[in-house]
Amino acid sequence: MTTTVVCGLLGFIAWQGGAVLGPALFFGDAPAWAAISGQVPVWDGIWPACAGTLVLVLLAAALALPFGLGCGLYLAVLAKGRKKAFCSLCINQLASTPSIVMGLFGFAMILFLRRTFLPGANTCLLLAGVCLAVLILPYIVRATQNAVEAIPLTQRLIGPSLGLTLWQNIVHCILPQASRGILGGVILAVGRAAEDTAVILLTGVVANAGLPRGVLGPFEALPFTIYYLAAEYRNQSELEIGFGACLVLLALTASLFVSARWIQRKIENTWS
Amino acid sequence: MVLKTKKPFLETKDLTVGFGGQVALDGVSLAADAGGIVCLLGRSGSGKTTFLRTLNRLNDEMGAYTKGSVNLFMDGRWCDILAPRTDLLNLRRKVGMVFQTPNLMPVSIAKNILVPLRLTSGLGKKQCRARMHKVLEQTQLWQEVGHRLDEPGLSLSGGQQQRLCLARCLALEPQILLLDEPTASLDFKAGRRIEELLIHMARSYPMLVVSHSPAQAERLAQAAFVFESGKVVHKLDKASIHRHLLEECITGSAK
Ligand SMILES: Nc1ncnc2c1ncn2[C@@H]1O[C@H](COP(=O)(O)OP(=O)(O)O)[C@@H](O)[C@H]1O
Ligand SMILES: [Mg+2]
Repeated sequence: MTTTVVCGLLGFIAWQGGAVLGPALFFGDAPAWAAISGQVPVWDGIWPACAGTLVLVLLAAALALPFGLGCGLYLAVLAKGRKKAFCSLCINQLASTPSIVMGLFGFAMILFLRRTFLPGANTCLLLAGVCLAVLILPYIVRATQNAVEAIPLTQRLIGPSLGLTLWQNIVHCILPQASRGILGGVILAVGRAAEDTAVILLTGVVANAGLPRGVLGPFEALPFTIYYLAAEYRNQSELEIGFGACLVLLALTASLFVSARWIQRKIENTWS
Repeated sequence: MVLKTKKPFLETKDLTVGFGGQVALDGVSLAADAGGIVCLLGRSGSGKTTFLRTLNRLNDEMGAYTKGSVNLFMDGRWCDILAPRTDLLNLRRKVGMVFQTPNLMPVSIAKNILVPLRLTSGLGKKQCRARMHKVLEQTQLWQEVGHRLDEPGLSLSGGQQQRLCLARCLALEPQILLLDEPTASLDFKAGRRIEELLIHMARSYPMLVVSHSPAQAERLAQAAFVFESGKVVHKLDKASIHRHLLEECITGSAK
């Protein structure tokens, strides 16, 4: 059943967008190599959006991972009683916050900064990354906590029974055994960060901003491009570009999943 | 090293352990001698595992509270291991524990021994490998796995895994060994193999072995303690284990 639905969806997108796949979809009229390196601006291709989404997702994941892992481990290993209940409540609250609220929060923060310390502050890649990181944080926390708590008791006691310190135990025994479950959460989180439009809409995405020039500048993003094309297409070929962008977004997330899996295998196998 | 027989290594007084509201051990006072295996007998849920976990303070990891006193003879003197300033890491390295089911890490046979050894001892690569060789010989694994140390530990048979767990803790050079139903998850033959190994090793290490079967205790033990609902109800020596076994059979069948 699930397989049928997924195949149907993928098939539909591939059928609609497959035809436009090619260099022109990414770079428009600009020469490919010059466009990739940013020497020539791309006006009617989705390459800047791809690069923007990739950087944005990596930034959000890099910000959310350490905090998410730390918080999940704290909840699973150290926290007890009321502290644990309180932290769990906070995480649940965060998980149930709609993304548009998160975007609004980022927007309000910039307004606040402009009025107080940094009159020059503007919505930017960094702000969007931070807001996305907060958005995906609960996925990583919950996945980490569940994965660690799912380790059977005797497996969990390996480290302590051999006299490893708390830190050695976490790095060498707990994380390798929980890495598979954590990976699941990271994949969910990355998918969520890659598709979210509401947050970036309010925190720095700009149509035709070109390649991201730094974390303090504006950027383009694939989900925004898709949204924009789908809402305001003027002819059939623009809609087809929208579907092409969908396909590219899928491929992008898929390749992120594969790299995440690769990293997890490395962690699991080394135990070092 | 050969132990002098009848030298006490463990003494508990009024040991009480609870998990939340549940009392798992209720005023256990006992003393055990080195130079032969000491068995802990009793039904499932009678507190045997909890007692073992008190001796390396592993119950602390599970949110248990502990009262009373526990003294172990280590480094040539008596140590009060419930004292607040006890160095838990050091204690757990000196009191090695093997669990009821083999608990290896999902990595190679060699790494299962080398990683904890390197982390806890700070020895060099060469010395670590030498130590690994030694403990694999001690547990009679070298013959079987010496040529395939890079294969995953989990590819071994149950008995081999259990012996690898034993080797892993021997590598840290413990002074006391705790074994929690080491043969429970094994078939008859693999279980017998472990029993022989334990009898051999009891010459060099003071050893506590939990067993669910009085017959096994009869084969292994110099002395035994019978647990029931968190209390020690019998202390048996070599001769009385056999008598107790018979009584168990008779009263057991009469019920
Ligand atoms: N982690 C735990 N949390 C709560 N209760 C426990 C825990 N471990 C053991 N107990 C309780 O302690 C008692 C003794 O258990 P245990 O020592 O495992 O018995 P045995 O090893 O003799 O089968 C049981 O009543 C059990 O329910
Ligand atoms: Mg038990």
